[in-house]
Amino acid sequence: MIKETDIIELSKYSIKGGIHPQEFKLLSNRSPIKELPLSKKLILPFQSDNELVGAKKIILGDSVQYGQELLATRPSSLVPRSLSPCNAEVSEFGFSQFGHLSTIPEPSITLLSKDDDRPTVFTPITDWKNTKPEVLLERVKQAGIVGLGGAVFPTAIKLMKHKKTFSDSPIETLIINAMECEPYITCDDCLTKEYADEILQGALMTAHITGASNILFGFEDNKVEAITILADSIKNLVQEYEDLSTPLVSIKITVTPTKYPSGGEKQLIELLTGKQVPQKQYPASIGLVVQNIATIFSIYQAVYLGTPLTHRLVTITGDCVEQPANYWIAFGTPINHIITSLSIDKTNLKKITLGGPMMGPQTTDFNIPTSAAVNCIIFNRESKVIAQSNDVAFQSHQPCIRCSECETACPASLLPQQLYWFSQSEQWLEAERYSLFDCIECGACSFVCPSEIPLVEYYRFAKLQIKQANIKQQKSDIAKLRFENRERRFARIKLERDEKRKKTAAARKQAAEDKKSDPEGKKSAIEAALARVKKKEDNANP
Amino acid sequence: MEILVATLIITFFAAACGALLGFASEKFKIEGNPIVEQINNLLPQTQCGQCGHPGCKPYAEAIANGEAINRCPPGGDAGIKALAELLEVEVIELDQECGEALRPRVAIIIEEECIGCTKCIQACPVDAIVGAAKQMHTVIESECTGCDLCVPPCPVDCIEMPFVTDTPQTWLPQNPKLQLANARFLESAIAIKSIT
Amino acid sequence: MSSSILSQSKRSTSQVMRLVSLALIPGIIAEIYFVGWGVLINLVLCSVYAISAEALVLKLRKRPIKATISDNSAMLTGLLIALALPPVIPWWMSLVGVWFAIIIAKQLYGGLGFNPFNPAMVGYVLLLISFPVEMTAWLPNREIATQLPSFIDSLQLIFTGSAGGLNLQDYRILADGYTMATPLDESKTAFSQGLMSSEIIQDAHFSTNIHGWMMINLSFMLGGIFLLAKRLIHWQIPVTMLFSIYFISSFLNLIDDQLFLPGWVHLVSGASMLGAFFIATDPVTASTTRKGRIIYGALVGFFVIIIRSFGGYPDAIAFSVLLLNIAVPTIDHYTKPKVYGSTNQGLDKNER
Repeated sequence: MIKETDIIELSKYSIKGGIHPQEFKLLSNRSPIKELPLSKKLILPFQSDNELVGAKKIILGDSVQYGQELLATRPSSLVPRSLSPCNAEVSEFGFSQFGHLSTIPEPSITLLSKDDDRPTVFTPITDWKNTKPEVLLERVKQAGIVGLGGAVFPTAIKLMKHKKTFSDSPIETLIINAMECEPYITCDDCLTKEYADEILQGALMTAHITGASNILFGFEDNKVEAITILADSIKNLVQEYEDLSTPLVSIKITVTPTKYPSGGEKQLIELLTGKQVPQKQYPASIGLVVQNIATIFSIYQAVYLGTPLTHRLVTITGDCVEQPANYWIAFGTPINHIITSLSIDKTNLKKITLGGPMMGPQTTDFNIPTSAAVNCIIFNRESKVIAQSNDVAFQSHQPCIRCSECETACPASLLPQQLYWFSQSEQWLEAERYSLFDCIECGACSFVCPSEIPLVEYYRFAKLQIKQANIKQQKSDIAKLRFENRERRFARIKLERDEKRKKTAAARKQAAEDKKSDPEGKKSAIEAALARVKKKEDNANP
Repeated sequence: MEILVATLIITFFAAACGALLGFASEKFKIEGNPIVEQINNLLPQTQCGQCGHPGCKPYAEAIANGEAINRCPPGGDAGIKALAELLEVEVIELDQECGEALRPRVAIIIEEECIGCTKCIQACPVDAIVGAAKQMHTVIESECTGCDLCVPPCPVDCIEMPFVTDTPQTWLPQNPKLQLANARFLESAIAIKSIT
Repeated sequence: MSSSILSQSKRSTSQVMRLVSLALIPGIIAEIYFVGWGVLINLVLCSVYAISAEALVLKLRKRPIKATISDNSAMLTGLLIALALPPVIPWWMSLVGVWFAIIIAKQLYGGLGFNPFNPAMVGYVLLLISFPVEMTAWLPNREIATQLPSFIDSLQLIFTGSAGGLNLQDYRILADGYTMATPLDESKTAFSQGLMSSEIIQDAHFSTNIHGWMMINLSFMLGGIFLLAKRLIHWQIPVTMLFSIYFISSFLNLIDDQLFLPGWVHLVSGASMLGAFFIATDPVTASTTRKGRIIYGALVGFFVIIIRSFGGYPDAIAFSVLLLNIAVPTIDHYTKPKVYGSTNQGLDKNER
């Protein structure tokens, strides 16, 4: 059990709801981290955001270097950089699935790897303490760092002093999410055990970038070893805390009871600080920024070692895997390569889970490549409970009996049973009124439902329908404006033309009358002469 | 006697209510007909004319005068539902005579064939085509509503109308309860098959 | 590709219903012992009626019959109606009641989970209003009965209306010519004759009568505690309902004990415990929010006492539950929990 010290403290707060699924963590968290042999083929997304201003385009047959940008993006782009994980040759442009539930293929680039040499790509910034935060932020962006907790949000944007996210309150506390609350996943746990010093440095760097003066690590109490090692690191590396531009007021590890979904950003904030993020706002509005612990490690690597984000630690586990463990895997590695490299037993293996069992999608397509979002792959045989009732074609469930188990489990204090009724009857207004968009889709409600209703699917369906309806309405509003502007323009042009016609008609009429009274134009000639004389006189006598 | 009193009381009450209503209808009268604007806001603004009216606003006015709400294919079933809610009438099926509620399309000009005649620019109701006489014409994809009005005027037939590609960001899953019905159907179909 | 659910839910709906049915057993045994074999026969009959009604409607709706019946909800409805009915009610009467409950009050709305009213109580109320005489014809307790019909006699009474030359009314008359009724029924008559509640309680008939019913109620309470311990029901409804019954009736009794019975009598008579733990807690028709359940339970208890004391019917669980079923959407609307982030807890006092 964890004992409180001056660095380690037990959480004083708790979150509502939550569940306690079986953990399955001992399968993989007792092995050391290994490196997966590089795949011959790598498939990466090749989605541009519509602009390649002045960039050199990559074509078939080109050679790319490790860390080279595959797709140039604008400096202000929100799309994270896509960097090559190795020295390779471009073999194909096409379409591929990347693990999205829609199974809609997206533009992709296929690389044939040549070797696994990984020289330093960026200049290491060893004197980061005296480097401006903007420079470090630029490095975070250059290295293509995204959130490694599963949501892959571009880290540079999260850390940036963005008007929308930051408002006026400064960031006081950097919270580092090492909760890893989903069953099976142990990559953050093992990363912390082996790289605690580096993670600590990364945390200090991130605090420096955001101006935070407090650092809080959040761990669940099932990671005793990692907590102890990190606490030692914090205690021993005291010299790192000197010369910081924003002096560090406190650096602590808060340990919370193991409960799913304690690791959700909002839930973590409530657990560690007792505060709730106001609806429709970001944590920055209450002076906090949250980063996953693996992201922190990537920041260290990018800044101190000049390494881009092209690999991540992935938990390979399940009962088809002989030795479940965590592996460094390059982005774009097809699942099939993992299966052959690790000799994973494919008998009775129908589906794999990309991510954790609560939120990760399941797929039967083993050609899908890994990416920054995939922190775990579960290879379970068909008979395991985990594969129950997920087959889209045969999804059958009992009716809802309004037992309210889901309400008890919901960590956001919603009424899942009501949201279910509104979602399936497509009453979007009521669904929004019952705070549908505050649902974090954690799956705790589906887990406890005695009728086995896949509640999260209903909420996802409702949310997407509402979003699309809003987009459609916006589009039609703009089209209406454009149409009305056009009508006004035509009306204006017509009016001007009419005016002009009237004027010319009047002028013609006038000219005809003048001609009548003065047929040889003598009158106007005299007037013109008089005008010229007057002008001369004015010029002579200023 | 009592009946007379009762009748007088009720008559007086009715008259008082009537007077109140009449007063309110004069005092709180709204100029113009705001319902037309509200209806128009719910229409998709493609100005395509499939409903038989020269644009969305004329159709909105027609609806306000009692025309059926099911004549707009680009609005689809969702549009009919929204109109039905606004006007508090029955939801009815799309009138097939006006066209099918197809997936949205977008116009693309095949630049190799364009002759720069500006006929399509004049036809586009939302100014989504950029170009000038003897200059290349091109469609601004984000502003195109897929109304099809640019296709007939083009003398060299160089405008194509492909479907808008579905991306993971525009993907819409089916209502899961339909999957439930589907599962029930499949189960019974399998049951029947195993018997026969 | 499909979304993931780690579905290790502890109990399925059919398991829940089965456990609830099992929790009825102590009460069932007590009721059979004190009131007679008719209860057992009715339990079997009503279960059969319920399942047959459900199967019939499912066939008409072209729904999977076996899968739906196996959720045990129809059987549970049948059991609850049977326990609420007097023991030797004619077979066709219980058929009408149960069939109405299942077909009209449940399946017509869409089946399990879609009905706004408690089906068992709808069936019971239909019978109570249509056949008031038979529905209030309870047999005397074992302890004071001159003779309770045997198993065969009960069968004959239920199916033919008479057994061994005696009909239902004959069994209700005791040796001293007193026609038996439930304690609540008795007390109503006694109050109208001007007796005080303390006198009523001390009366020999009443005290033996109430003793039997107290045993029945306590047995149901035992089953109810099992439900609470196994977390099959939420504590809010039974606790607030029983508190409400006790405090309101005690309060009324304090004011005028010539019109109102003391609190404990209300708690152990009629269907108080059965209603509190098994009927009002029906998840489909009760309030679904935490705070809502407290209001729901308290109001059910309130109406039970009001109708028992001021109304024309001796027992009022069914009416109270149905009344509150109507109010559930409103209660739910006003008792929504505070969603995460909706209060300004995150901001400092100065920033609010």
